[in-house]
Amino acid sequence: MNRPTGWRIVLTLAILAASIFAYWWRGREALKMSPTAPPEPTLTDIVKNGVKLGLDLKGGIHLVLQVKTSDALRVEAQDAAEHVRDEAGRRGVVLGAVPPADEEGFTINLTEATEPSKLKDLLKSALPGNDWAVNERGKEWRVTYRDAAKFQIRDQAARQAVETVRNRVDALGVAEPVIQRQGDDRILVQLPGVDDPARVKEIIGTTGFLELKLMDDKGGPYSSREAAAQAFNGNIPPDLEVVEGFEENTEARTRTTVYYVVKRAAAVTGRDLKNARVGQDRFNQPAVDFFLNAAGAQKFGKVTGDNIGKRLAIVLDRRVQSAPVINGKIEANGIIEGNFTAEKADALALVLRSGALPAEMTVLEERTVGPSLGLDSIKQGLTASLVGMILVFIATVFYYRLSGVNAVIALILNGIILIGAMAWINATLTLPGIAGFILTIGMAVDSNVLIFERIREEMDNGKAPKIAVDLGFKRAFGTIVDTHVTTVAAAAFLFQFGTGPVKGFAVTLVLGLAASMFTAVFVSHLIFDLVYGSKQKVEAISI
Amino acid sequence: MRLFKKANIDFLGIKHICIGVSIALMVAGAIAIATKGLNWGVDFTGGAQIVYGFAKTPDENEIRKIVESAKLNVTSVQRFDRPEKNQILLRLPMEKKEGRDVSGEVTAALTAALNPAARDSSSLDLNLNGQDILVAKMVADDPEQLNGKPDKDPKIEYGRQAEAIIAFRSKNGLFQNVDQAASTPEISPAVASWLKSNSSAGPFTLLQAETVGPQVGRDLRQKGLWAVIFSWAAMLLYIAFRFRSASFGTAAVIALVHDTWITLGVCSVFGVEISLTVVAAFLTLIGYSVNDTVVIFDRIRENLATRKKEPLDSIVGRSINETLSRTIITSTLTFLVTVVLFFMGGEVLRGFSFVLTFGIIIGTYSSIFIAAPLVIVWEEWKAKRAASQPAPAPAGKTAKAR
Repeated sequence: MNRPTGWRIVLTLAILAASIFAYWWRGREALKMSPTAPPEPTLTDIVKNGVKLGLDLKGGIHLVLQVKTSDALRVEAQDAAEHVRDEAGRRGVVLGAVPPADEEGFTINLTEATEPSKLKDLLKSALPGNDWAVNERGKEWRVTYRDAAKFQIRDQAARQAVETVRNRVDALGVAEPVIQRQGDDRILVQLPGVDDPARVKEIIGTTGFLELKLMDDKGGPYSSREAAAQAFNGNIPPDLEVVEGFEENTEARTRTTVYYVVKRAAAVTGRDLKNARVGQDRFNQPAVDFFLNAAGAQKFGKVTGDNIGKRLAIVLDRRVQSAPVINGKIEANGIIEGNFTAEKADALALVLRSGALPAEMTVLEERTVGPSLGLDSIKQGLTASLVGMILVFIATVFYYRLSGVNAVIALILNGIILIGAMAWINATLTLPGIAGFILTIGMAVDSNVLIFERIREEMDNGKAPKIAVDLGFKRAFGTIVDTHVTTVAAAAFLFQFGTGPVKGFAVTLVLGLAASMFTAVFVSHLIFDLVYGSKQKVEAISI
Repeated sequence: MRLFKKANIDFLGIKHICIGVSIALMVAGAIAIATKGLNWGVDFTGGAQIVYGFAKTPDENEIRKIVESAKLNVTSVQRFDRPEKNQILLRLPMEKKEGRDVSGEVTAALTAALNPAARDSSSLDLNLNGQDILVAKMVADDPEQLNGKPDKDPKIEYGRQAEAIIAFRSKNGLFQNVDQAASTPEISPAVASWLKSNSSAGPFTLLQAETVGPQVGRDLRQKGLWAVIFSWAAMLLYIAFRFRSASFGTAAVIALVHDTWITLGVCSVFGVEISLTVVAAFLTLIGYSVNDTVVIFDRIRENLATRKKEPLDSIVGRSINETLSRTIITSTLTFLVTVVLFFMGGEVLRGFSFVLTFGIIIGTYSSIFIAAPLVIVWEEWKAKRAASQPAPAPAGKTAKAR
C-alpha cells in the first residue's frame, strides 16, 4: 500500500465534478429547448431535466410506418403513360387504348392505323431508355420499369415520405421528435410527450394528395359505380375515371357514398400548392382555404377560364370533397369544404401545407404510453431503485464492515458517474433503463466482492494486511476484466435488438459497468490508501 | 463476518448427480414448453394490447360486449396491476388487414358506449384528449379574450395552462369530473369556467396501447432469437480465446444454454409473458451466468499455473471452494436487487425481474455444480479416448489452459 498520491485524488474529484457538471449542464440545455420552461429555472427544474426520459416514462407515441412504395411506382408509370399519349397526339401517332398503369409499368394497345416504327421512335424519344424496357408483343406493347429505375423510385418515395412526415411533425410542434428511415420502406416516428394517438395518426397518415379535376358533363353524382358506367353505355372513355365521394344530408346528419365521373388528368395538383389555412365556408362552417403558386395559378386560371359553367371536383386522397360550379376565372386560391369540425380542418390545413405523401402509409407498429402511466412507472422505478440500493448498501457494510463502507462510497460514485455519463451522451432513460441502473449497482458490487474476498484470502495465507490489500487488487483485476467483458458483450447484442426501452437498458448497463471498472478498482484502492497508506504499521483491516 | 472460511466442500463428488438433476430439469422444461407452450406477448404474436384506467371499478364483461359489438375480436379482458388502480388490460388478436387502427376503434367504441357527454362533438373529453387538441380548442374559443391584446400570445398563454391541466390529470391518474379539472391550480378563472361548460371527464383514460403488425412481430421474433444465439456464440469465442481451451468454452456455453433453457421452462410453467423486456432479461442473464462461471475458471487457470503437480479434479474442486464465498455473496446481492424489482418495480418490470431472479438462482447453481465439473467430464472423456487409441496421446489429466 502506498501513500495516497495527489493526482489520484485530483482525478477522482475531477471525474466526480465532471459528472455533476454534465448533469447540470444537460438540465439547463434541455430547459432552454423547452418552449414552456420558466424563464428563471430553479435548481429543482434543472435536476428534473438532466436526463432525457424515454417514451415509456415521459409518455408519448412510437410508430413504425410502412410506405407503400408500389403506389409511387404506379403513379409514376401512369404519368409516363400519359406523357406518351400526349406526345403521340402531338406527333400524330395513332394509339389504341392505354389502360391504367400498374406498379410494373403500362400497356399500349395498337390499332390497325398504328405504325409500329413510329411508335418505337416515339417511345425512344419520349421515355428515358435507361428507365424503361419495351416489350413488343403483337398488338399489345408492354412498357415496364427496369430494375434500377424501380429501385430509384421506391427509394425516392421513401425519402420523400420521411421528409413529409418530418414537415408534419415539425408543424405539430413536438419537442425532440425522432423520425428515421428504417430499411427500404419503413419510417420510425417517436413523439415524446404526445398523448393523442388518434390525432397524430391522422395527421401523419393522411396522404394529403389534392387534385383539382374537371368533371365531365355527365359527371354525376351517381349512386353506384354501375350507374355511373351506365351513363356512358357501360364504357367509360379512358380519359375519364370514376371517383368516390359523399353526399351530406345536413338534416338527417347522414353521409351517403356517391360516385362522380371526372377527367383522369388533374388540372392542378397539390404540388402547385403554396399555402393552406383554416377558413370558413358560406355557412360559416370550418373549411380550408388554399393558395396556389405562380405556375399553379396560371394553369388553374386557364382551366377555370375555359370551363365557366362546368363543375370542378376537389379530390383529396382519391375522394371527391366537393364539386362546385365554376362561376368565373379563378387563379390563385380556392376552398375545400366538407363539413369539417374545427380540429379536422386544422389538421387538413396542416397536412396540405406540409405537402402530400408520395404514397399511402400503413401503421406496422404503434406504442402509446399515457403520461399518467409514465409518472407511475417513474415512481415505482425510483422506489425500487432506492430500496434495492439501500439493501445492497446495508448488506455490504454488514458483511465487510469499514471496507464495506469503502465499497458503498465506490457504488455511490459509480451511480453519479453513470448518471453524469448518460446526461453527457444525451442517452435516454427508460423504465428498463432504471432496472439496468439498479442491476448495475448489484453487479458493480461484484468487483468489490472479488477484491475483498481476495484480500481476505491473502491475509489467511499469512500476508501482512498492507501487502494483502495490494495483492488483492492486483490479483482480482484480471477476473474483473473478464466479468465485465462478458456482461458488456451480452449487452452489445441487447443493443442490436429491440426498441427504445430495451436499448435504454443496454446503455445503462454498459455505462454502469464501465464506471464500475473505475470506481471498484481505482477509487476503492485509493480509499484504502487514504485510510491506511500513511500509517507505518497496520495491524488489521476492517474487512 | 465470514460465510465460508476455508470452505472444503466436495462439489465434484456429486457431479454425476447434479448433471442428472440438470438433465431432468431441462427435460421437464422442454416438456413444459412443448405441452403448455410459451406465453408470447403482443410484441411477438402481433395484435393489440390496450390498458385503460377507469374512474370507478370497471366491469370486464360489459367492456368485452361493447368492444365485440364494434366488430372487433377480443382475446381477453382482464384487470391489470393492483385492483385499487381500476385498470383493465384488453388483448385483441391480429386483424387480417394490416394497418387497421385497432386501438383507435376500441377507444371510440368505449367512449360512445360509456360517456354520454362525448356524443356532443363540441364537448371535449378531458380524459382522452391531449394537450394539442386542448390548446387548439382554447385558442379557437379564446376564453380569456386575448385576441387583440398585442402583449399576449394566445398559443403560449393557453399552451401553458393546457400543459398544467394535463399534468394535473397525470398526477391524479384521471379526472373524476370536470370540477376537478377546473380546480387545476395554475389556470385562470376564465379558463376554469370555460372548462366547466365545454368539456367533460369521461369514465376512463388510455394508459397504454400497443399494436404490432404481423411483419414487425415476425421481425422481432427473429431478431430476439438471433440475439440470443449470437450472444451464446460470442461467449463461447471469448472464453475459448481467453482460456485457450475448447473444454472451458464448451463447458461455459453448456452451462449457459442450461440456464436459459431451464429459465424458459419456468416461464412456460408460470405463464410469464414473453415480451421485449423479458428477452432483454434473458440476454442479461446470459451475461450474468457467464460472468459467474468465468470467475471460477479464472481461479482454475491461476491454480493450474501455481500448482503444477496437483491433478486437475483436485484443482477444480479447490477453485470452486476458494471462490465460493464470492459466488454466494455476489449472487445474494444481485438477487436482493431483482427481488425488490419484482415486488416494487411495477407491472411492466414483473416478467423482467422474474426471469432475472430465477436466472440468478439457476446461474449460480450451474456455475458451481455444472460448469466446472463439466470441464473435468470433458477432460476425462478426452483422456479415455486417448488411452483407447493405440498411438501415445498427450497426457489427459492436465488441461491445456494457461
